[in-house]
Amino acid sequence: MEFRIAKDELIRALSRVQGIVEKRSTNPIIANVLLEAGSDGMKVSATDTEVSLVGHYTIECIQPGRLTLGARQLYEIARLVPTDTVSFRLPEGSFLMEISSGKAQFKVLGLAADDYPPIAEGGDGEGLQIEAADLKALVDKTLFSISGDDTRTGLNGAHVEVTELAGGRTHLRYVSTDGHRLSLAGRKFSGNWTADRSVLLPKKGLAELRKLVDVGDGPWSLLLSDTQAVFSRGSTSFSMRLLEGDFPDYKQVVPGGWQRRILVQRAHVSQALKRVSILASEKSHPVRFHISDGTLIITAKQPETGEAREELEAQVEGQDLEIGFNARYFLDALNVMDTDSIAIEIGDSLSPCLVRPGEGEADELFVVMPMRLE
Amino acid sequence: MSTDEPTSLFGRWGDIKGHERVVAALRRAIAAGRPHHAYLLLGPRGLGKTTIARAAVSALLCELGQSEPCGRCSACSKLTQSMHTGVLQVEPGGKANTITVDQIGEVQRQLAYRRLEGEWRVVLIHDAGLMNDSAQNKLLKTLEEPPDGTVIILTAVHPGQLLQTVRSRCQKLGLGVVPVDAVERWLVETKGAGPTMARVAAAGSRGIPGTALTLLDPEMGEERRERLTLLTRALAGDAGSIGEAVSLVDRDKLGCAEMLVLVQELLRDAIARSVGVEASLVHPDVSLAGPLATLPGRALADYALRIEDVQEKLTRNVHPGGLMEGLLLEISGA
Ligand SMILES: [Zn+2]
Repeated sequence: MEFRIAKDELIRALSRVQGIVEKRSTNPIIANVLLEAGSDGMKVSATDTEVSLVGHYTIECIQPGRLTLGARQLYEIARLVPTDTVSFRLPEGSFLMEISSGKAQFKVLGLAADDYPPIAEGGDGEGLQIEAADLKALVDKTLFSISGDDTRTGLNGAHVEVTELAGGRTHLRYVSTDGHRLSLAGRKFSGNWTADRSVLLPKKGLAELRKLVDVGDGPWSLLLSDTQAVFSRGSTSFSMRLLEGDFPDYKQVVPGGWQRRILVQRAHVSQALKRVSILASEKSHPVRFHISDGTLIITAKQPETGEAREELEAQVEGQDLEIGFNARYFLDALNVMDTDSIAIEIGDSLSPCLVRPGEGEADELFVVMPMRLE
Repeated sequence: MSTDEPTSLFGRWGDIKGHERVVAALRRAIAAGRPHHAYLLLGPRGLGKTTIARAAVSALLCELGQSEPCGRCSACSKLTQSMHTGVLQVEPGGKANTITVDQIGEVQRQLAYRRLEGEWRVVLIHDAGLMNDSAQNKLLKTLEEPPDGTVIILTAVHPGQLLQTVRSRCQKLGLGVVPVDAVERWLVETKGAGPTMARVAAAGSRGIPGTALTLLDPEMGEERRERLTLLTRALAGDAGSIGEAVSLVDRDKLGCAEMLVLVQELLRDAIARSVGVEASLVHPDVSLAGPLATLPGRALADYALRIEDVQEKLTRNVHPGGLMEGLLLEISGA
C-alpha cells in the first residue's frame, strides 16, 4: 500500500470522523479509521459499530491496499506535518505504516483491515432519493417522540415505510411513538424502495444524521441492507444499524374521526401553554383545556403554588369539553410544525387527541394521549 | 495476520478439564444450532466456568462450525483480539465489586440493534452473582424476551446469589468437582508440572482445576497457606487472629467469599477426622485445634451448612467483615 495525499485533503478526511470513532470501547479497532487506497481514490471509514461514516478522497495511488490506524493520532499527525503533501507507505505483509512529510517521519502500528466491523455503503443515486429539506423535516418531526427506553422493543426507533396516499402518490413516512404520543410525517421521494419493507431506525443514528443534513444540499439517497440503513450524498455515506423488533400497528392509535374540532393559531397555543405550565407540576406538566363555543381556555392549578389561566380565540365545532394534557407533549409537537394554524381534533376526554396542520396538504399528524385530571 | 497455526483462541472445548456431561450437552445444542437462550454455569471459583463459557462463545461464532473452533476464520481472529461485535461481556467492577444496572442497561441498548455480523450474538456475564438486585431485575426483561439469535451465559459461584426469577429463566449447568487424579494428570500433561508438585497441588485443589493451578504458583500457594494458618488460629479462638481475618476481608466481598471456602474446607476436614476418614482430607498437612478438633461430627456439619447461609447473605449487601467476624466468633466459641 502506497499513496500520496494533500495535507488539506487528509485533514478534511480525518476531522469528519473524529466524532464517530469511539475511544473508550473495549474493542480496540473501534478507535481506528479504515484507510482503503485504490486507483480511484481513498475511502476513509469510521464506526462505533452503531453508526458509521464513509468518505471518498483524492489521492495519488501508487500501490493499492488497506489498513486501519488510530484515528486520533493520525489526525494529530495530519494537522502538524510540515509540508503540503503527505506520503504513506505500508511494506508488504507489515502493519507498520510509514508516514513522511518533508523531513518528518512516523511509523504507526495499525490493525488488520479484515478485522474492521462490516460497514454497509450506498452509492449516490442508488435506492431512493429524497430532498435534503424533506429528509430533515422527517427526522425533526419524529425524533422527539421516540421512546428513550431501550428495552421497549419496537418503540425505541422511528418506523420508516413507504405509503400509498389517496390519488396514487407514494410517500416515505417516518412514524414514532413512546406510548404517550405519536408523530407521523411523510414526504415525496423518487427512485426505488424495496416493496413491503419497513425498518426501525435508532434515535442515536437519526440524531447524528440530522447534524449532516443541510437544507440547501441536493438530494440524499437511502439504501437498505439487512442490518443497516445507508444515507448518502455525493462522496459521503452515513449508515446506522437497524433495530430489532416491529413497530406497533400505528394506524390503530390514530383516531379515525372526531366529536370536537378546534382551529387555532399555533403560536397562540404554544405561548399560552408555556405561560400556564409555569404553575403546573414539574413532573408531568398537567394542564386543562376548557373547550367551549369560540374559545379555548387553558388552565393549570397546584394547591401548593397557585393557578394560571389563559383564554384563546378559536373556531370550535362540537360540544363543550374539559380535557387534560401533559403540556410538554403538546409543545413538542407544536415546535416541529410549520403552519400558522393548527387543528386539534378530540373525541371525548379520554380518547387520543389529534393535532394536524390547520392549512395546506402536508402529510403529518401528531397524537397526544390525554391525562386524567382530578 | 494469517498464519497457518491458530495462535491463541478465545476459547476451545479442548481447554476444559472434566465436566464431560455439561460440555457434551452444550456442544450438542450448539452443533444442532439450537442453544438455549440463557445458561447459568454454577460452581466454585476455579472450576472452569469461564473456560466453558468462552469455548461456547467460540463454537457459536466460528464461521467453519467444526467440532472445535478453527482459530483461523475472520470470526475467530476478531474474537481473539476482542474485536467481534457479536460478544458483549460484563464483569463486576468499581469499589463495591458489583455489576450495576447501568452495565446491564448498556447491554440492552446494544441488544436492541440487529446483529452486525455472525449467526449468533452472545452476552457473557462473568460473576453474575455480583449483580445487585436492580441490575438483576433489569436483566430479567431481556431473559423474558430474549432477542432472536442471542445467547446469554451467566457464571456464578452460588445459585443463592441470583434472584429466583433470574435463575428460573436460565438453563442451569452445575459443575461438579473433577476427580483429583484427573487434575493431577492434567497438571502434568498440559501444564508442565513436575509429578511431585502436581500431586500436592491436585490434592490441595479439592478437585478444582483453577485452585490446583494457583497452588502450583509458589506465591499464591504461600498466601493460601498463610490464610489457612490464620484461620485455624482464629477458629481455635485466638482473638488477634480473628481480628486479622476480619480486617483482611473488610469491604472485600470477593476476598470474603474466598475465605469462606477455606473455612468450609477446614470444617469438612474436621468432620472427616472426627469420623476417621483421613484419606479424603483437603488440607492433610494442617493440624486442627480448638472446637474443630473436639466438636462431634454432627455439630461440625451444622456449621458447614451455616456457611451456605453466610455465602448467600454476602450477596445481599451485608458488610463482609461483620459476617466473617460473626461466623468465626460463633464457631470458635462453641
Ligand atoms: Zn473459526
